[in-house]
Amino acid sequence: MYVRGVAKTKFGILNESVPELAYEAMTKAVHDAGLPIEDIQVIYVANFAGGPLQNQLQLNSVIASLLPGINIPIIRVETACASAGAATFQALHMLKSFNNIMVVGVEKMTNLNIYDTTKGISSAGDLILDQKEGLSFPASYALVAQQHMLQYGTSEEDLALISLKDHQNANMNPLAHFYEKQVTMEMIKHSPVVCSPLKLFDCSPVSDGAAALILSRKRDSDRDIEVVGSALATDTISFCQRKNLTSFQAAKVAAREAYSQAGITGKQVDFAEVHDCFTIAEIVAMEDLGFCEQGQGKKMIRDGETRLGGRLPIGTDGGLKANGHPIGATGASQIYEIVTQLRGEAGKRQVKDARYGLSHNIGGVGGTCAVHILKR
Amino acid sequence: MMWRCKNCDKKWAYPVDKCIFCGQGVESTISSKLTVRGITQVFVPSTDHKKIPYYNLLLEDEDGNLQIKKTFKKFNLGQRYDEAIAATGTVVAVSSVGYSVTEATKRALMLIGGIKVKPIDKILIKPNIVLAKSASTGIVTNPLVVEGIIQYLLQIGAHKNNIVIAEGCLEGVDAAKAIKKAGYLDICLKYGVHFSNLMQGKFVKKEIHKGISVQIAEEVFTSNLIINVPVIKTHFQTGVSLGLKNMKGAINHQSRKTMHQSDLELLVARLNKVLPEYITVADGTVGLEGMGPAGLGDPANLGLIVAGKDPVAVDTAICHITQLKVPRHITEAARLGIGEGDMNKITIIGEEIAVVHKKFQPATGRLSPHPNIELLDGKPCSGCLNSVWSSLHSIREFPAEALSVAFGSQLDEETVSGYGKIVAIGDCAFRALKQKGHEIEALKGCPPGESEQIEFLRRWLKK
Repeated sequence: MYVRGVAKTKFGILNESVPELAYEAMTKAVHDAGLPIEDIQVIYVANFAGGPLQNQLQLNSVIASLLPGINIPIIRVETACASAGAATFQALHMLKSFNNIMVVGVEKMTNLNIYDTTKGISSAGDLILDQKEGLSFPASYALVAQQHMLQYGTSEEDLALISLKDHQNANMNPLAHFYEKQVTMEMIKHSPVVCSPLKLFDCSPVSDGAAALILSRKRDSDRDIEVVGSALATDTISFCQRKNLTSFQAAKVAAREAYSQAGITGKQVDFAEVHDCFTIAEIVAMEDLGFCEQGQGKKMIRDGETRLGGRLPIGTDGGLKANGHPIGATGASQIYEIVTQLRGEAGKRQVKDARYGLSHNIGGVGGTCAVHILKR
Repeated sequence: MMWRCKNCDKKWAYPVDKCIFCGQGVESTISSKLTVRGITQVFVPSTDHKKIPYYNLLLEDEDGNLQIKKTFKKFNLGQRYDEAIAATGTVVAVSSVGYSVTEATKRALMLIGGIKVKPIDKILIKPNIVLAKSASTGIVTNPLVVEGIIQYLLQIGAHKNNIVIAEGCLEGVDAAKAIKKAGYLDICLKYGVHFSNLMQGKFVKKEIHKGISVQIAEEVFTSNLIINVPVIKTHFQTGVSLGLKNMKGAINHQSRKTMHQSDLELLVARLNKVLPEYITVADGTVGLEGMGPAGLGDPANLGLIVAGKDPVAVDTAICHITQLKVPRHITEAARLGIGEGDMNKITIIGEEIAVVHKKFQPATGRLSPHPNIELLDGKPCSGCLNSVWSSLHSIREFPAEALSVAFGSQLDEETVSGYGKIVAIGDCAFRALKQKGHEIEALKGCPPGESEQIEFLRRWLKK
């Protein structure tokens, strides 16, 4: 199974609506794949906030409205921030029955006030156990960060290094939310506290945007990138049924399965897009994916191993932190970056001689995790 | 609160009764020893959590179970988090309803120090089942709260044959229909407890104020323990209808009219002075705000159980939680020494009021549900009040020119003057207006049936 076409819109605070954003990504993706839209047999639309923030559900039919006269199966997939990862997982399974499937992730989030936006995003947490107690996602990851600091000695400085690296990468990505934003260590360290110990620059932004993938059963050209591992795992939605906050079991299970399919280990991954919705999430991901031992993520950061040019570059597009995080589009955007890198089309941020790229897409605080491994 | 399979040790944060893995029964556990394992100070507001900063605590119990708690208080890592502090004096427990109303109710009873009963003790549980409505309306007490109380009582040794759910519905309301509609019949059948229609038993006459006597159901005085289970709601005549007010359901219909025709708030307090002591377990799962206590109010999801052994303290605390003015019947009850009405002397355990408070819309608004019909308030009792409301609600879209409907016995010249076309509903309004020499068309009855009222009003609306 191959990724034949990829596309994404600019991420950021945009004027376009959900249909406009989706249409742009879809149009560019079929163009990139060199396929007429009529050759697409199924579409998965990944979206999270259509209900809580936009009051627009049945997005499958909205997508159908963009393709008048094509009455193919279109299905909306929602697993919070892992929606596009889950849609891709689902689409790859469906390739056993179809030749070409599109995944389009789309989100519109910036046209609301902070109160409604925070509440809407919080709907990915448990209604009673989390939301009622005011546990927003920044607060959840703040608790994760604190536990990691207590258990492994990870520091705020380590988190700041991740943020700085992500912003540097985003400055090489014209489609990133924070493209051309000059961010310094001073700015990061002195940014206001959002949920202690996390500061503003530890948090991914609220973004609009869309990304689309064309998945095909057969290889058509040298630009097609093979998917060698695809796995999805789930875990409890709330911390209340967990024992450990510093590691996400869903990520470990999904990674183990994806590595098994690909016949590799975490040590053989050349670069990765991980779900760094908050800087601490990048360290947790690195450890769950086996890039290092549990608790040793900080060392990789301090040694610069995850920077462009390092042993295992992470978040070459800027990551969720600086590329942006339009929730439903994120998982597709991660695969867009992996494919762009493996094709050798990443320009200034190109990773040299990469063979295996991995995407790690988390929903909630580890409630869902989709891992995909692509090979050049 | 966790649910655990005794056989395979699987745990759930949701109320499940059977293990899906091994098929064995599942037991619920309430965490008692909680330790602060994580703290974050939150500076991001959201629609339901606008006041910042607050803290989210990561708590761990003695079995390693985790839970999240919002607080405005400062804690340190490793510190004990005690829900039930060693409180002296007047205690009111506030228990947040998570996924289980019954467990939250049992927690509230434990927080107030529990109850002691013997198998031979007669226990009377007095919910509010004023009308034949479901609990989702906020008009009647949620039967799950009563179920939680029954489960607790059975656990501590009470005998099912000695537990009675008792209520006196409004005049004209079929009690059998009401307990079925509200879900109490199912509870009775499930636990083998009885329902007692307080309006069909014996009464004891008690003078509650100078020259004013009421007939109180005898069962109230023959029970060893009374648990009063009001639903938290607003009331356009008494501000709120909570524990003190709910006990009015134990007096006969004529006595209720007597109270409504006099100083209702004073008499609610005075009534409680002659009643035996009782425990209050107030149902705030779905309360009622706005023009309560019935159909004109709006359901308000409060998600709390508020309990205590001091009825005045419980009612006072609820007023603070709902940010409603403490009405006179509560302050008067405090003055009479029935309980503590000073929030500074009441210890809240369980949840913090600052975290769980929810502003209720007070019962100040237009009395009539029909846009063109004015209701002239002659202090009707609940019988006329609810039936007239219901009738007007039924014809609220029926086009009408301006019409005024008088009801209740306290119709003075000031109340009825200045209105054009006036009709009266109910015997009390008819008599009151006739005594004052008014020749007004009236529909007699105590109260007249709703279908009669609708027909009567429609006839007048056509004129």
